[in-house]
Amino acid sequence: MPESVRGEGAVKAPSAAPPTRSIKPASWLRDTARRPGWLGDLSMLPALVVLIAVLSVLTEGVLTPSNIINVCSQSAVVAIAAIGATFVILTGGIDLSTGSVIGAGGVTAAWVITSTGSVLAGAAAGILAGTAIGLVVGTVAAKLPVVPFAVTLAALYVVSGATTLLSHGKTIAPVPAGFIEFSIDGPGGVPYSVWLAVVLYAVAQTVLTRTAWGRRVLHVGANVEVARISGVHVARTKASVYAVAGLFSAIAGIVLTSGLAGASASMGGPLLLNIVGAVVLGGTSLFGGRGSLLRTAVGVLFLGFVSNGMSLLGLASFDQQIITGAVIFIAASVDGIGRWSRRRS
Amino acid sequence: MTAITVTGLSKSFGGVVAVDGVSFTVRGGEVVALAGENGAGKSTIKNIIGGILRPDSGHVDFGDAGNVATVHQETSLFPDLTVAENILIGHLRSSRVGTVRPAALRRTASVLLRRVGAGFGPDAVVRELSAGRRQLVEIAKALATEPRAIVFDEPTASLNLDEREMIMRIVEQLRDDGVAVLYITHYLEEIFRLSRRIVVMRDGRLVADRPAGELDRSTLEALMVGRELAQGYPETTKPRQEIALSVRDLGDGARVEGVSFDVAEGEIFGLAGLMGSGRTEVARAIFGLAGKIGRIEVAGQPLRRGDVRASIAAGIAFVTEDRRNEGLFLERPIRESLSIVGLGSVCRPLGWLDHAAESRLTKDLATAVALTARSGQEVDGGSLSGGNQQKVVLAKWLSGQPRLIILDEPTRGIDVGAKAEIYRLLADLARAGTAVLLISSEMEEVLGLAHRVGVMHDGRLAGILDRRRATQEAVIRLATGGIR
Repeated sequence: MPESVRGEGAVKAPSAAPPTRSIKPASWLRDTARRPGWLGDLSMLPALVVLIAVLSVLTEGVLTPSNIINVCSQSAVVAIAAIGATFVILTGGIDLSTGSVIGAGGVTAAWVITSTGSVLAGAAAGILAGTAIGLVVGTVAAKLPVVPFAVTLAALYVVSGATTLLSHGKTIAPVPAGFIEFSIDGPGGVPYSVWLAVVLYAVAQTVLTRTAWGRRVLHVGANVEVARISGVHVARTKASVYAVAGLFSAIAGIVLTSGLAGASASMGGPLLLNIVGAVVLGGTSLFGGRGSLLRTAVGVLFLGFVSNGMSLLGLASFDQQIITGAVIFIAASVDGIGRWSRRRS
Repeated sequence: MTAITVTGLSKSFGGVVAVDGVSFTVRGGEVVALAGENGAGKSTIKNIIGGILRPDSGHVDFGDAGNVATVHQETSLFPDLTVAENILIGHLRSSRVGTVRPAALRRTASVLLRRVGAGFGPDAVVRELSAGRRQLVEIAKALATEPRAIVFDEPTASLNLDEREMIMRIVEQLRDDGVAVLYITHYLEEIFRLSRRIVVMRDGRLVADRPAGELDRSTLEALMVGRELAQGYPETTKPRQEIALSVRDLGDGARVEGVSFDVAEGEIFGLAGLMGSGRTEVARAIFGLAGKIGRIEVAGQPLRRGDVRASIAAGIAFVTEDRRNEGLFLERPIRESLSIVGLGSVCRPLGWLDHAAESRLTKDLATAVALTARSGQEVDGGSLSGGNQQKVVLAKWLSGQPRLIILDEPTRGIDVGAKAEIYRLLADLARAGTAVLLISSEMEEVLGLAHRVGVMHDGRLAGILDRRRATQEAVIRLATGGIR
């Protein structure tokens, strides 16, 4: 590129003025230009640390290996489903059908397992069913001028009704003991379900940050017009995240089936708010374009330790609810105020 | 009768000094122009005077004027409210119990609209108004408080010639009424026409405060940029024989119909016309963002209409007029806005991103457009100046050599230095064989760069002038519906 005298001059940035050089060593954390990306991802981590510290003071046994494994294994289902929810929310969408797809995936898997005896075939069938449902929901949400909230709310009812109908409203059991073991034990005393969640987070985070698809997901959420004009296939990207959400919901449903030793259509419904809550609490923006799986992981662990702490403290369930609400509010405020002051500075 | 006195203002943002010890005054009945490149600190000064920012040191005094009103550049109106509601947004409670009386609002608003010479009523919804009319609403809104001091921030940036003329007459009227006016603009002709004194800022400091009569255009530019600017427009080479873009009977089903023209490889084709004449619609229809009427061929191949991805695959690049909403990601690192179009070229099989290749690509693109972002490529797009944002929007299309590049108002609201860079880039692209379709409200720019100029009038192409015949007068005659 030929550099004319004019070009040279324009390269001069106002920052060349001496005063801007005096960045204090301590300010590197607040300087977004210098802060590594993953640090912004973990803005909720201090809240989690404080929560665990407070719980350690109030009760005994929070930080024992067995309790930590306990929290993780209880969080595994929400954690896995929250991966898919994160991708959807990153595009600025929302998937309310997650809970019902957990039910559909689990029931399909349990049905194939009980009738063929093969866990592998069951898992494959469940995953296929969940992904197919997600693909249909996503295609409708992406192609029709209907907001994802409405499409997925409708899907919630249709899928959950259809699953109940096909399973005759019954719990599908029994499943083999080896399959139940999946949620109870595994290498190093850590259940296979937890190992699975960890591996899936590593894979999903890598896909988000290191593939063109992950980049497109972020871009559709950041500004759909910029993405469209730059040649991103917006409808395909949107449809794909719901398919991915269906995939992960189904995996979560299979893990839940293993934990409950059977599957029913309604088993995933109550988890929806925990799943979306973990994503948002972790710091992924509901407007899309900002967030990551690392954030969601912290959000999942936060909710996991809150509920674990409540039972360690032996609180009655209504007290638990009130305190859970208060803790979530405080954590979200601290994180929100922190981000706000960083932006102001 | 000093109306705005600024004394020793300083302001830093996170260690970066935006304004450094600036002092000046504006008296009642005079227009003072505040000139400087993007990032010189003009907006910070405006925001401190307007009370939006608090200075780190120094103070602002309004003397007899009491307060100040601001006419903003990026429109600060509520698109879904009516004109009357927008103008009187701060004074909506018109009865004692605090309810809104629409009839009273309309009356008051009508008076203000007449003062700014608006040809539309108070009941129009702002969303449906053109940019020029919105600017008039903005001014009427500022006048609602009967201010004795007004700050105008780029009031004409998105307006056509007639509308600019109208705004300047309003400013002159205000001045003659004894109002103190601080006028911020990139248009030097406006500065020289309106202002008595010119305050020039560079890198946050005040570098000159002189009577307008003592300065000429090139001195002022040199003061703003800190160096002598080469005069005029870059040399362009002769277009090639091959036709890059052929448009026949193009329409968008709404505003535009029957538009036909060709652009050769290496040719810069200007598209002039008044605001609302259909220039932007033609550009968007070619790129696949609007209507599908008519035939388009790119390098002899018919173009699949209404499909942006097909247009990009055919080698068309599109630099939007609305860079903040359509051009780049304001809340993602600029690296991602730079690499988005060329992302396929930095991917390994299965869509794995090669981060090293990506950063090589974005560094090359940044160098190609002389991007001067101060803190590298990981800052968010929203933190860049308008000129740098525009360079990013341009650069993202340069990862492959585009066959045709469409630019809609590429220099709107950016400083002279960035403008010169963009002109140089267009000339370089044309020399390399790219066809350039340039839409601009700045006629001087179109006439200075284009080999031929198409003039739009009321949704149709009124005529095409070659460089010899493309004079300001000829273009205006066609644009306003006169015959050749």
